[in-house]
Amino acid sequence: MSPHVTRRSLIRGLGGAALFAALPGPLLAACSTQPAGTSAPSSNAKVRLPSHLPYAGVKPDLAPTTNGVDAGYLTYPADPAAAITQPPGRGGTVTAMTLTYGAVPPAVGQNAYWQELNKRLGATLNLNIVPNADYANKLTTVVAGGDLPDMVFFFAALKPPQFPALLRAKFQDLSEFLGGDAVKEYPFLANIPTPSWRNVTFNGGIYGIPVPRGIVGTVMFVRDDLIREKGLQRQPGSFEEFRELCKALTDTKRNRWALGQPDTLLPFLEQMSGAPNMWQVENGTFTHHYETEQAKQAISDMLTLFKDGVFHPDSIGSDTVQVKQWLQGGSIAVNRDGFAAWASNAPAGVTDPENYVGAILPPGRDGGQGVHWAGGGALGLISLRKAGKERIAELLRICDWLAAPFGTAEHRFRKYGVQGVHHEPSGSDLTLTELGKTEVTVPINYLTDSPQVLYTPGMPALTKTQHAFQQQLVALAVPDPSIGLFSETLNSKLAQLDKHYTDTLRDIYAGRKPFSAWDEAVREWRSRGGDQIKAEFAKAYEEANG
Amino acid sequence: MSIILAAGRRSRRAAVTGIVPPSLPVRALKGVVLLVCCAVVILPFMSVISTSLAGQQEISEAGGLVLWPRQPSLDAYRAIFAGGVVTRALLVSIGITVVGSLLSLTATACLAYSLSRPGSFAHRPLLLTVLFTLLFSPGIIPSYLIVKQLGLLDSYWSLILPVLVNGFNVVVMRAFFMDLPRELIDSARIDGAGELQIMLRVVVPLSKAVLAVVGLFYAVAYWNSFFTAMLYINDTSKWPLQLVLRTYVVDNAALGADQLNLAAELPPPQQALQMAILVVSLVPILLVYPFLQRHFAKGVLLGAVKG
Repeated sequence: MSPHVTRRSLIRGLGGAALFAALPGPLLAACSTQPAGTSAPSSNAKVRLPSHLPYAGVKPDLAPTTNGVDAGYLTYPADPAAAITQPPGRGGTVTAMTLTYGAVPPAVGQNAYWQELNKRLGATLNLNIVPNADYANKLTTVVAGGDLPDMVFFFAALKPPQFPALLRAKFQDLSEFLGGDAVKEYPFLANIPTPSWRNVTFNGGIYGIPVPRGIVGTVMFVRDDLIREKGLQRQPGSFEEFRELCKALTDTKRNRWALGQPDTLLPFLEQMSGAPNMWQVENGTFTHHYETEQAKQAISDMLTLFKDGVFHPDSIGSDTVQVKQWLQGGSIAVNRDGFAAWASNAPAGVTDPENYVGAILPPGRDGGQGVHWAGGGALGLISLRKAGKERIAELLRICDWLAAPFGTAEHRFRKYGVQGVHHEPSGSDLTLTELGKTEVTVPINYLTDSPQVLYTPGMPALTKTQHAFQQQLVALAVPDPSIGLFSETLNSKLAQLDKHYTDTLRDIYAGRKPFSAWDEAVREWRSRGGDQIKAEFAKAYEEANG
Repeated sequence: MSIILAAGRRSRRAAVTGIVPPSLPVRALKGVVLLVCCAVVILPFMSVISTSLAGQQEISEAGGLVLWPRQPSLDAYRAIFAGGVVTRALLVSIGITVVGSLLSLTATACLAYSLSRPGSFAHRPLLLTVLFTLLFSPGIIPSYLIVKQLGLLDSYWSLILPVLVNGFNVVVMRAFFMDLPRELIDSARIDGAGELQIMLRVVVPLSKAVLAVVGLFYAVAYWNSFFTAMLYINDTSKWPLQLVLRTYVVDNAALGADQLNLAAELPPPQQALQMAILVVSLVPILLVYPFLQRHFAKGVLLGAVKG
């Protein structure tokens, strides 16, 4: 997978929707995305999304906001009470297909955590665990084989071909169980915010439960310590100031550069220019962000930065993991990454990452404010195989249990296992034991999850910094209007079309092609499938808005 | 002294063969080139092993790969072997490699021998079938459906039976068998040996080289295969080593893409871990390789070229 695709998947996966209501009017006009009223919320008008009823049983230290700031916890809540009294399952077996990004857990026979999980669920959870890299292949074969498990995970950014038809044929429309206030039956599913639910609407129904992610998405991290060392100011006010910052941070004699990878930087420059979040919709017509003048401006700014010599010499074609290491090691000072990667961008072993890593807001290119591309609100969705009403209700109860939020006993068990076996209290936080680290890797966090919170054990100062930054950032957020709409062409040609753009951009950056090649690339993108995607989105948009 | 000797040898050899051996500078140059070649091969290995022993701090400073660890530690290896998943997978892999290679070798040898004897049963159609598989392979989904309908899902046999016989190996072995002197087999038959006896007593002992080579082909393929296991085995306790290790190595890149909740609890797998995994998966097959390498080139050439 090319880094750019990763980035794209990331943006789409975490990618964004519904901060629209929270946006102040003038800002909207300034960033020229959509006229008010055509925002994402109405694009699913025909589907009755589940009501959002925030769970009031746990009081966070730092309050969440309705426009997308996550709740923050400075310590782990002491002695959480069980929020669900009855085991949700009815004693049978529940099969599920889910993925793993890391270590494989020991099998249920040798795994005390998994056994206890089954007991608490009141069901034997039979997981088909697939490594993330092979998920698409395995999914295709399992679907073709016809014996679908009860619950199947689908990526928001990587759906199987003919996805809506597959859902209609094999999976349950959950509208009658979850639509509107019916979701009250499952209080923790009702606790999942509305932007996340927008990712699960297909065929005019609710075809799954989201695996929620914050709508903060991807942010621009800087090495605060390097900035302080040079006596600079972290937050630039315009592109010129950003350029000056980069120049000042570059010190080739000490093998230091400001920037690592153009592919991940480009969205930030686009946000400075006020480009739309992936798509712009105007009177029902869709425009891809690469087609806009703002994107062109961003590419020309990128070339300016290349001329300034502020990029790491190996930047073109470097991969995201490598760039992350450059930032960690101080070879570069500025890099975009997922919000949750904040602490992991600090040098290894530091206990106060907030003093090493800071984040910057996209400024307006010529001063003022830029825009922030909001995340999509979900990593993916869990769809339930068609079954009788009682069975579906049982599976939903299990999902409800799996979505019990931070601060409940269910959540503590899910993330930390049993006290004394899988974790030990350390101060006001919990620490996983060696056994816990091995066994608590059962990937149930991809069978829905609770909304994300800001909490890093033993680092309350980091949580405060993150919470304060989120408040500033969400004020600039614009949603991706394509969330909740489906385009088969996009689904099947995304990787190919993305590669076309990435290759052209790399050629332009490296000087192998002139800047004017960009216009040709956009024309080619349109003829190779772009126009079709736009038409499909427009049709889906019209259907949804009737 | 040695230079004088070498010079003497040179002139003598030149007198005998008419070819002048290279002079000292040329040989020195060759030596340097060979040294560089060796370094090109050895350095990456060394850096893989060194990185697997290094700490995160050191790796970050070095920009990814460490050439020599300052404070070597076995933490990465401890992390991999904790919980018994990798140990178990290692046993599964060894079992599949040993059993699979033996079965594959037996099946391939039998098929190749029968195809090497003119006039054997269904000679031509069988040979064409084998050749056909060289050109066309079944897709993922048809294979999956067959394995599923045979009830082999979640069974170790699903990792062996679908890949039991490899067409290329059959062709190599058949060519080798056809090259054996016909008189040997005829004389065995005159002595009263049946086909099976001829194969076991006469053909197999003469074919050790090609058997070693094809055996190694199969063993390496079984050892390295992860895709079939990924498709057919849902029970993670039956996963072979490569599939378990793959989750650490390949998925690391994607880790940034999903924002793990409470990221600090589950740090992304580090470079040291990945390199330790490479070492774990490489060592067993590396240990086997030198013993068979002698046969390796010889066997393939004997079989393929003369055929």
